[in-house]
Amino acid sequence: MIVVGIESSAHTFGVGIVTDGDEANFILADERVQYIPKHGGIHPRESSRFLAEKGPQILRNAFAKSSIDPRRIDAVAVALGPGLGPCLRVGATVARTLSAYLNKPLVPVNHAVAHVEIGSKLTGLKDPVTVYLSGGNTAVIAYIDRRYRVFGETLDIALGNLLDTFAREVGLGPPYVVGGMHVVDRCAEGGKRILPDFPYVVKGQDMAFSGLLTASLRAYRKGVDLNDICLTLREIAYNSVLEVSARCLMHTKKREIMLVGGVAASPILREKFAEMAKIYGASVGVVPPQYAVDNGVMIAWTGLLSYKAGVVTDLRSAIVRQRWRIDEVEIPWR
Amino acid sequence: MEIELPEIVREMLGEEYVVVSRSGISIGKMLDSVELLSMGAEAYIFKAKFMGVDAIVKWRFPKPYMPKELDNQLRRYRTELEAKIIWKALSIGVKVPIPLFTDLEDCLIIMTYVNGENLRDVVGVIDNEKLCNLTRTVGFYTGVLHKNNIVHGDLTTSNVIVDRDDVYIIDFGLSTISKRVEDKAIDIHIFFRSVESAHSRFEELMKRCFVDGYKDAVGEDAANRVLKTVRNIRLRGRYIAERKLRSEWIL
Repeated sequence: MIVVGIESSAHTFGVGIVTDGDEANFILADERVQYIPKHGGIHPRESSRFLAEKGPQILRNAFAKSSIDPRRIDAVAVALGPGLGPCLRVGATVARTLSAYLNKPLVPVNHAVAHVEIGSKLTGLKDPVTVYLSGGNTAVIAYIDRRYRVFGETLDIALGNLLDTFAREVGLGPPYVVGGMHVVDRCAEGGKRILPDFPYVVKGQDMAFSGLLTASLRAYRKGVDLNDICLTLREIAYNSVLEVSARCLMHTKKREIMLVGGVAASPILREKFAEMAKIYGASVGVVPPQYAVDNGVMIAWTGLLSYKAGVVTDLRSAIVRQRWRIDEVEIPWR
Repeated sequence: MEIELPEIVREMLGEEYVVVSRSGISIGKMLDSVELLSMGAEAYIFKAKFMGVDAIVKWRFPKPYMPKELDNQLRRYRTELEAKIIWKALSIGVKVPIPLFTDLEDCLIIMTYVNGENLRDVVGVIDNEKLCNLTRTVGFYTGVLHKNNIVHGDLTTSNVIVDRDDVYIIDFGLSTISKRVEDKAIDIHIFFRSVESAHSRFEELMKRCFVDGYKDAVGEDAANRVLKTVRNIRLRGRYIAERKLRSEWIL
């Protein structure tokens, strides 16, 4: 079976083609392009324009590089949410068109589910606690009773959002990631002390970061050493995620942790997770950075699993869902 | 698993206490038969005999992945607050373990051992009526705590111990003193969340019985105010379908 997957939820237009015929080389094509704003954050309109402009070429490349005749594919999968509406619509439009033109079934895929599935596939973990950290998501997820349940999540801004916003406000970025390391991580290396009275907000299994952002910016404006602020900000933010993850491990009695999403690439975060897992006798799997960020392969792979389990949608119902939560999706293939 | 016990525990293992009573003098061990019971997210829980009483030793261990200053600050603060709040909870009639000893340097609390099972483990084993009664008591206790401005902070089914018909609330490690409706609502939100995620088949029953018990404790009006905030908090989460946006796009 061959499935093509289309991703366009935020800044990346990705097309992946996967097969279940060859375990070792299941990826037949992986093409993508990323919108990088010249300044500021991602503007949904600007990003969607960029994706609409580049998308068709990416699709063409994917079919060309895999040398697969489009008529040979079995299904078209598309990320319908969660994400930025205008951006999601670009992928949805391409996918609906492709599905109608080739007369192949259309498979709806939840972007967050796709992150978890491609992670499990690539790390070989069987039943992990998934820590999903990106610019728009901070969630600790575990599979229970046919769904990926959210055990803890941010009550306000996402971890990636916290780091990027802080970096932007104090002039450390963009770009936010330099040489595989976030600029706040880099800046924290020069930090010498943890500043007192920064809010550490963990409420049961949920966390909140907006107070931490405010406190950090206020300290910066007062002229406190920037390296110290970076260190304090990073330690409090990372450790609240670690605490929630540890709690989830204990609560679910699972023995594996998986890190996915753009922020999961942080080497410092990985080290911390490795140390934490050691205490609990758990193993850590880190999704290779290339597939931890948004990509088409994860949509294609999840689409393949879904299609095999009988999940399809008619074109009329294939509408984007910006707020499609991971725990709303039935997982019939697990 | 080999665990290096904190200094205070090692000291106590060698100490003895003397009881002088009318029937004579008896000597007992301060701390005896320490064995690891479980490991929480932030603490080791040991079972032991403390001055002859069945006890729990809760030790917030240092975390190697955290900077020392931040770790110590958090552990110490939480240990102190936990001990204070357990006392308060006891005094207002909520069944909780009784604190027997605290040491803030080593972040240690020794409290009485509650012999029973975790609510998380008995859901699905016991019948629905019993489950309802237990959950109702959890709701009632939560209400009593809230009326006294105690917010538990981590009210999951793992933190409720069932001893026959008695219900004990444990682990006040994240609890705070607060008057805000918001904080109280978060308690309930956390409990509901743990029910949804770990016991989804009993979601409706457990939520209903919890709310009944809660209303018994705080009254209909106060309960409704908090429950309204619970709904608002849920809508604040990320990617909530029912959240209304002013500019929701339609295809």
